Amino acid sequence: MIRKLVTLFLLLSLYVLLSVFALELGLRLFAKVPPTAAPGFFWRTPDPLTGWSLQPNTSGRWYNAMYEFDVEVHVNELGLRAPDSVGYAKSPDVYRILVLGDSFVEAVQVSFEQTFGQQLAELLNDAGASIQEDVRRIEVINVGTGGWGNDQQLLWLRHEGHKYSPDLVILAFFPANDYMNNYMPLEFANQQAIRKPWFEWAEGQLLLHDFPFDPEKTEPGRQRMRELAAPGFAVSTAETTVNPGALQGLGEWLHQSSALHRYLDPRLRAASPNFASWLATTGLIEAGRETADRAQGSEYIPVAYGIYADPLPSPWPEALVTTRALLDEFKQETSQLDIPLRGLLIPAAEELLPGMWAQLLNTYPAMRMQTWSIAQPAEQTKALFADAGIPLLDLAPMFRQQLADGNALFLYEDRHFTPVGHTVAAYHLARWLVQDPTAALFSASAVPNVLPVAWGHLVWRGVGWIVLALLGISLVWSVYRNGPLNWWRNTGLMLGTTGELLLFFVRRQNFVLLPLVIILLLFGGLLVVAQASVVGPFIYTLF
Amino acid sequence: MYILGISCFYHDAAAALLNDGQIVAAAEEERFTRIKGDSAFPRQAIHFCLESAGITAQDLDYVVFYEKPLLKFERILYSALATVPRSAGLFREAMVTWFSEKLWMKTLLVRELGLPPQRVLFADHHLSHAASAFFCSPYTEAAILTLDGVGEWTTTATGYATADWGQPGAHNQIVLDQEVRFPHSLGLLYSAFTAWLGFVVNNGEYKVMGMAPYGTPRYVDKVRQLIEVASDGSFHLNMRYFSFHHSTQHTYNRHFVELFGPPRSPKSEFITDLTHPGASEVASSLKVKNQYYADVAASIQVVTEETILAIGRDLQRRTGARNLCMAGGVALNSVANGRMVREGPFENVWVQPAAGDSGGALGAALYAYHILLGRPRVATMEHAYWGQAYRSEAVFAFLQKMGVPYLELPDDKLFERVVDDLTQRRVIGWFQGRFEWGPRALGNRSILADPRSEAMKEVVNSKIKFREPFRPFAPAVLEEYVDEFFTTPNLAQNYLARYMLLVSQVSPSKQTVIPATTHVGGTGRLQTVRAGWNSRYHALIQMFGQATGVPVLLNTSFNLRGEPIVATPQNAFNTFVGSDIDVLLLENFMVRKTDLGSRWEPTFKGAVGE
Repeated sequence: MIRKLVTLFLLLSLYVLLSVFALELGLRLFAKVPPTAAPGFFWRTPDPLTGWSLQPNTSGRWYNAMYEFDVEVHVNELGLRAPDSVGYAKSPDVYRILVLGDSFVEAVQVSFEQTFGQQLAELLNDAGASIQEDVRRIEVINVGTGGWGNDQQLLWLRHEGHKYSPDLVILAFFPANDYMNNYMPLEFANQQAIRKPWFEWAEGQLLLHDFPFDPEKTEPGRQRMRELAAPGFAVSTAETTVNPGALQGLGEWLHQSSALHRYLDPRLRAASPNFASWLATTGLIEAGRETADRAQGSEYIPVAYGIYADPLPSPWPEALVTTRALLDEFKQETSQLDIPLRGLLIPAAEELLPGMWAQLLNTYPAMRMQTWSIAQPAEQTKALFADAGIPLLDLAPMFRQQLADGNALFLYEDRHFTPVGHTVAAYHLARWLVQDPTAALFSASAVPNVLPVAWGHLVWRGVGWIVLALLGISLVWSVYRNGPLNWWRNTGLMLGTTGELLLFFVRRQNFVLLPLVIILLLFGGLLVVAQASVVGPFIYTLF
Repeated sequence: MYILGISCFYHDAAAALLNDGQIVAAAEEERFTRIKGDSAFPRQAIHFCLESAGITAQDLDYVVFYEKPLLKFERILYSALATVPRSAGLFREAMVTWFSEKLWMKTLLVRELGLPPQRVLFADHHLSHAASAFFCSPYTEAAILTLDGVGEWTTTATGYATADWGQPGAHNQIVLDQEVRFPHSLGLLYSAFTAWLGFVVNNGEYKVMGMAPYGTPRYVDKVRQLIEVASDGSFHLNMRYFSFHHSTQHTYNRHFVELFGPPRSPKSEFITDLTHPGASEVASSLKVKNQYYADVAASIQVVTEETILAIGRDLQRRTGARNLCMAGGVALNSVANGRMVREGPFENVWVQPAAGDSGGALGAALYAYHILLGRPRVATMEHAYWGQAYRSEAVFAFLQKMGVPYLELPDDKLFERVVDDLTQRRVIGWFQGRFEWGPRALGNRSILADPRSEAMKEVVNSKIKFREPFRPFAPAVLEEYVDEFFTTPNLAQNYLARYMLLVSQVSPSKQTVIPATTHVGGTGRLQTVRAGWNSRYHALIQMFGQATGVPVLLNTSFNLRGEPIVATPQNAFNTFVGSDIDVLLLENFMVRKTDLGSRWEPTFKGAVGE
């Protein structure tokens, strides 16, 4: 008996080992798995001007846990994601555009050439875009750092931007978090710290605090923020510390050495945050966002999503007011430089992809208890820009169109633009700047159409239609052949038998076989439909 | 109340009709479609059954299918999964047939018969077998043993049954409380050897049985490496040697071949010392080779017999029953049946003559009537003539249409002539009444000859080309004289003897009297003939007995090689013309080959019998 059990155990272990080995091998050969644990933000550095910015003269490879991209990031000596050749000096034949923004402009998910700023430059140059009589080369400089609000962008423009002698400033506005970033009580609730200089709208003017920024001297502001912290978005002051599980060493070792671990880790977190956070307590995976979320309790809703709440709760209106004031500052800065200012409204993944929004509701169940307006942030922004008199291009309609055509514009885990997303943004921005009477700055021939066509998607859709048509034809054919009454009765009986079959497997507790039976039934259904019909030969070849 | 039983989609499709518990008609589809072992939906057999009762499908109270498709589907999925990836081919093939046909049995029955679905029932495969034996037997209580290749999951089932003959407190019940499950199957083990010995699986098993007496069971130990039998008869196959559970092509594998050597070629001649004694013009290596195959055949036969006997002994101990009812394909092993009768612990043994899957049709109907509806017993099955009859008028019309010269005579005159022909060593094609239910020709569709001289075997064999010498001819003997000719006690009362379901030793003194029907080892697969249930056949044999002193005829089935037994006068005539049968009797009409002339010169001369 014991010998039998031991043999069984050994066999099972061997089986498990072999399966793991096979999976590991298969993943390494065929799947996209990061080569090691995902690196951190190695190119970021504290900065007295903006709180944080890009670390000059830095290079490195960056990818995320799901390995949605793998990009060489290079920061030049001026702290820009730009070639080393780009400096303050501008040659006279160059028309220089500064694109200010946050992580969507930093765009470390795509190569430098793929960023919408660089694609914009290329498109405009290809179109022979010119201003007035002289044709000049157009150059775009991306000025973006992940997490920046418009306040930081403004500070950079004010203290650095003018040195570049820009000819145009494009402000890439991301409503999904810029309002929060711009208003310190919310930003504090979000970050649980003051990490940058910040503006306060008081008595008709913008006051700048903690500037230049020194992390050691933020305590007074911190106290005030705690007092100001909004009800409903209570800041948990308790630091979420997680005790490392007993297996932490093993977990780390596995993550470093096993593609299987690195493959499963992010997918597990996405699929079952609860299980993932339990697993994190054992140390087998690292505690991540899901663990922090859980520590906040079941009522927890991240601060950032407040911008979607309908009606907009306090203190979000304050954030809008502050932002409106910042827009005026931008206008003032650019008019002092005597250059135009344009806005670009960046859509959020959860705004355009219903699945993403559903996932949010899933992750934060408390969100289901409130009413939300997904369109609200964009609408607010359009109103704000109109009020400030800054022409604004809303990318959302074009993105919706492209998404409907089957293009993937957002990365699933990372939620920033894919290279295709950048192309779509660049193309519409270029057309807007050339053609739109409210915003046009350039005279140019037509901007070459570089919009992607999702061939794979179209092919699948075509196949889908053909299959549907064939099924329809065979349905009509079989009804015609059998006579409607007989057909109805036979179909009823077959459905009955199908139900019986499924019930039978359930009743006999054959759960192992159920998935197989269901798949077989689907194929079987095809087979039955196919019988004596035109589709027959096609379907039989499947077997 | 009409109940129709149906079996199909595995092998031997059949239909059987009950009216208030009495058999009205039962027939295998192959007789109508002329496709041997036809497994297709038995449309013609159903039509025949309904016609026999003078009803339409609408008059049926229930239609019962002989097994449960969902259970069987489950088994196929499991065994395919258990043998992945070797089962890929089998799986693919099985899924196509299951999803296009087998799974939708209910739909098919409803559609074919135009009945409401609630009148369609399903009986368990082995319960159908059990019912086909027990509810045809005369017993009030009996032990049940069903043995076959495989049903849904079960390959062997044992249990106990009681019948309600109207006695107070009785009720009909069949309890199969012990079983052996797929892939452990005595039937499939035997089939593996059938294939290895060069015969067709599901069809050539009786040839293995016929070959066995030429050998000595020297390799029982080797066979026992394939099958482990416990003292209670339960058994376990060593699946290392088999591939029937994951292949559609092969039943055994290379390990089997390593153990037993290369398989016998289906085309090779069977020559041993017993078939060709002494003479050395035949290569002795061939003799040695064939002797080996015969020895293996003898060994698997012995193991099969002893396993069945062990099961029987345990079953008797467990149930205390005096009677045994058997069915399932393995119950057609008449040698094993003979041993069960003589050596087994039961006083009486009853076997369904259509013991294979075709019998399931009858069993399913009986199961529904007696168990599901709980109706008391009304009848026993006393004969197997449940097929279609073609009376004199039909035969007359046929002969007229064909323009065949014939002679119509009353029975006594006719039989005189036939006996005359028989003693002149002519071969008779004998066609009368309803054709037989089950695989044996029992005197309504038979080829008859004189059994008294060894030479007659040669005569029939020379007319029946390609027949292997190990395939014996059966003796049909008058019930009154059976004890004179055979040693097994009480054969006159034995139901198995009526249906050619047991092999008995021929009395030593008679072995030389009926050499043509005495198999090697002095045995015969006899049929007893009683006037009560086949008066013309009885009268003929009786008259032959009066003329010769031997009330025994050589009987073999009336068909061409590879064809089912004849059903219609046309089939019989074709067979007659296509072979060297001398005289054809269709009811009271006699057709003689010599009278036919050149017009009926056969274009194809096939071999008779299979």
